[in-house]
Amino acid sequence: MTPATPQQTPGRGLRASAPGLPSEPADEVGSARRSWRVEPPDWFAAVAGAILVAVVLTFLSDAFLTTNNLTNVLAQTAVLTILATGQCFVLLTAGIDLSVSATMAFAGTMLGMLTVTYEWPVILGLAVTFAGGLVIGLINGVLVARFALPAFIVTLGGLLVWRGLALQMVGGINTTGLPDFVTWLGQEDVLGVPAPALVALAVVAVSALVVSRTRFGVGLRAIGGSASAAQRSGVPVLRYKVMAYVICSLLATLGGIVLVGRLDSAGGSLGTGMELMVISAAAIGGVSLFGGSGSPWGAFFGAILIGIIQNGLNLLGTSAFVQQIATGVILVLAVAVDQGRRRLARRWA
Amino acid sequence: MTTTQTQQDTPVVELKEVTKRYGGITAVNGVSLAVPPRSVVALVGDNGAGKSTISKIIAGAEHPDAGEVLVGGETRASIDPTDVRKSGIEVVYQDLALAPNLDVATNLFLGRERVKAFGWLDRASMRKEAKELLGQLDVYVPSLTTKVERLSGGQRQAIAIARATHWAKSLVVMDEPTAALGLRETAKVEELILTLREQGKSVLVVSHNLEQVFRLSDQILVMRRGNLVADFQTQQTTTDTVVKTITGVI
Repeated sequence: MTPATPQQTPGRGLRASAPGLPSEPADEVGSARRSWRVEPPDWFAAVAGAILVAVVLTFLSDAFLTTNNLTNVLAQTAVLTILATGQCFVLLTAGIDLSVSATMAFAGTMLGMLTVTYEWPVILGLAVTFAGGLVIGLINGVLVARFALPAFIVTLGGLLVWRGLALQMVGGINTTGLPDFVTWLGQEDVLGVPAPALVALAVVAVSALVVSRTRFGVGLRAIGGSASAAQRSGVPVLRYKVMAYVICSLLATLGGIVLVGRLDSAGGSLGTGMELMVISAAAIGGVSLFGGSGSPWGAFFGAILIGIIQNGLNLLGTSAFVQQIATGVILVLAVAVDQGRRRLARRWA
Repeated sequence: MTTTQTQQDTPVVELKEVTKRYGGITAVNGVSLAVPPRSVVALVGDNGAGKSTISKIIAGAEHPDAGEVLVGGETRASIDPTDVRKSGIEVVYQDLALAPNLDVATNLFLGRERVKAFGWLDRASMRKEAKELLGQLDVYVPSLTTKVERLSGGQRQAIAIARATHWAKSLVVMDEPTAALGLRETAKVEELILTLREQGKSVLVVSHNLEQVFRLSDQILVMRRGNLVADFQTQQTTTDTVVKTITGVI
């Protein structure tokens, strides 16, 4: 062994066993200190976009930057946020759930039917509704994870089945007069903040902790990165995948409950086509559609950005069609910005 | 002292008359071998000789059609990879089995994360241990929070080996650990293999590189067409003999 760097540990000298080769840089192993090139978070583009749009709207409309309007935006995006957060769990595993808005409609319809038509106590109605969401999640998860059917196909089928079932259950007629608790959840304020917004924020905060700070969260991200590496490292891939679909369906159920509370109307046509908005919100928030990266905060900020744009266009008196066009453009832009950011980060690394 | 003596000499893993067939092809034909403790054993042979099948059988990724696998002197009943890991055997796969999107520390503990109350990850203690581990092995990475996909091939290989080193109690199986590496990176991996032996663990290394095999190993097992055809003590043989055995001249 040739003596090499002064840092060489006595008795080991591992670094020196390639004679004639330059030694590696000094020992910086595991330096806990962050370098100044801290990588921006996944949801960077969404937040930057939201701020930009908010600034522009503040100039364009006096009504935008008011407490009333901003809490309104929070309340309006609550359901989208809750669904996008659920979608985030599935996307992390490199899966997709196209059935979320159908599941939401099914859950809302079921709650309306049980508590209004059959006059069940609200607690029992909620319990059975969540049980329905659980079953939907289990079906998706088991078909995708255990029987290796493509998630796209399984949940596309689910989209048709659950919405069809919801329409069939009530014969296409909406139920109104939902129990007080449900309408309270959808419409009331707590300390000036809309209850649905509080529910959404709680969902996001808890989900973000689960994703970043638990074995389950690490496992989901590992599965999205490489399912076979995760499997061989001892991650319970099958169980975690099923759990991701179950969480997604349960959050879609919660979204359905909040939505029928907001509208005081439950029926099979609730949120038709919303699944694409949900996936857009997650993607705008930097949740990768290829799995393995993203955070529930991204889903939240993505939903907020969509919400602000829709709100702004409403304030400016633009048509709903233009809103749709704007959302589509923002989706592509946000993902492009995100890709560029990743590429830059890689070049600097 | 006799018991202790036996205990110390019990092979960390032993195959007895192991046969594995894929359809009509016999990949491994009645192979018996033993990996003694604290040693580096090289498994060499031409393509298709059955080397990788042997390492897969030891890893628990393949189930032999006939024969027995003994771990620490006891017959292994289960062949689930998770159980194999629990028995103290780690495998460095050719593709490394790392999650590219996760950081170094997370990969070192993947599937074996340490948790505090309520199932929250104990990130501080895992970072600390990861730092110590990489320090001990003298493995350089920019930071523990660097994603594995940002590392060079050699650094990734070092992380996979460090992980195996950390969790292995008796044996690390490595399938072509330096096939894709440059000169300096190869030297690093070879150092790690010798460190493992210093720590009292054994290494079974599948390799095509005979120079490397002679640099590292204590024992060389030669396979040809599914059979174990020779078992050399490295110091008592020559490259020429091994090459002739591999190609079947002898």
